[in-house]
Amino acid sequence: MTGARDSAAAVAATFGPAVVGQVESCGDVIVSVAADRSHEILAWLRDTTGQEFNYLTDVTAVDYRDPGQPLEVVYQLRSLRRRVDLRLKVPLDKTDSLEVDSVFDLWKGADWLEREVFDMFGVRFRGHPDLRRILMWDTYAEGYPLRKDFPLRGHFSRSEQTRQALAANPESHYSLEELSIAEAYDDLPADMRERLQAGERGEGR
Amino acid sequence: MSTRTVELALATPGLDDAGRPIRVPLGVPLDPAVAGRRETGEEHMLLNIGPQHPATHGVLRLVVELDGEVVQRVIPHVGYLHSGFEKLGEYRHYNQIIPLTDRTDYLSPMANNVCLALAAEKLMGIEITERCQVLRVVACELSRIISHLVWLGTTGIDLGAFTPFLWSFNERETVYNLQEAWTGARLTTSLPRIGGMMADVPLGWEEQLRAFCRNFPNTLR
Repeated sequence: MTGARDSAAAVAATFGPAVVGQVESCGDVIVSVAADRSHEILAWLRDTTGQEFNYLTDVTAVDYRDPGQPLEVVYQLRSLRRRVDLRLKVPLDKTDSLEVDSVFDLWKGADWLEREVFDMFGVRFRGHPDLRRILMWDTYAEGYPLRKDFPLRGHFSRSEQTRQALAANPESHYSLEELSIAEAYDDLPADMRERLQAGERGEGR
Repeated sequence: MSTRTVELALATPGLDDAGRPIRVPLGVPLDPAVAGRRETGEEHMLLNIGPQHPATHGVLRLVVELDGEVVQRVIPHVGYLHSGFEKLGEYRHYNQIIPLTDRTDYLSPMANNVCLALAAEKLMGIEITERCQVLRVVACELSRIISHLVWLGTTGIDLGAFTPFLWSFNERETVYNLQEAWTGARLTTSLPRIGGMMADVPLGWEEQLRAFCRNFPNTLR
């Protein structure tokens, strides 16, 4: 934990006002940083000798019950050589657009992690090469499930969900994006194009 | 015109005079004038595998782009097993979440149970008894063993070796008997509670565990 404390102090010393908070909770060192500097700080933590946080354990987010509190994107870092864990939080004002720089260029493993945060919380990662839903289906229209204002049963009523499920066309299960890979969308018969455009749940895109 | 095609519900018996692939919906009898044309070349095929498929161990769906028999690209769809445990957890108290953790990885349920209990206890600053700690370690290790046995057995099956599957699943059954004697459930154990366990091990359980520990290395050899 000393190592993590030192790293947190080093971040605060190097980036000064970009560090908006630092706490120690349940044995974890947590540093909060401003959204516009987060990529720079994460790159510094990865590349600086003596820090070497070369492993991105997880990217996730927290939406708090209090609607006034910012949504936090959480980066859990680990230095495999130094055996030190550090948690970095980026608070995002919920009245603002939820956007933060992607760290895909620093850690390739951030690809799916950031897609999951986008899927569940609606945070957009600038510079992500392929930001689309990962767990929910492409045409899912109810919003972002892990937001606290999202009800347990979803935004749509049971009857509407049932209607959509029954109207789902199991044949049109390729996304338009997948079809564009094959560049053959234009060659398909008209009725199949319509089904594909409507999507799995008949919702349209 | 692209040189790539999608094979959905369409057959492509060949190319027409302009070099375009001829599309015939499946179920429509083939025009004899079209049949016997030259083969389509340089075409990529988009193929769907899953989410239910005999060759997958679970519900993974892959959309595969093929050039002949060579895979060019795979698009995985991983959400078919997503059950929203985190969202369900928001509406339950900690002990009610434990049955959900059985299902996060049902091949090692006891280890997952313990993880949740540890996290909640860390948050609350609860210290548990030493006997409880030891029993949790035993539970986690048993989970680890049976989880790895499934990997070993099914990978053997995929490679065409059937015998390791039988041996590993036989040993797994032994551990399931232990789990059943302890928790009453073979698969969904829901073993710990926040600050403790649902039950101590029953009488004679340690002897069964020792017998397993004696026999299991021989099976592995």
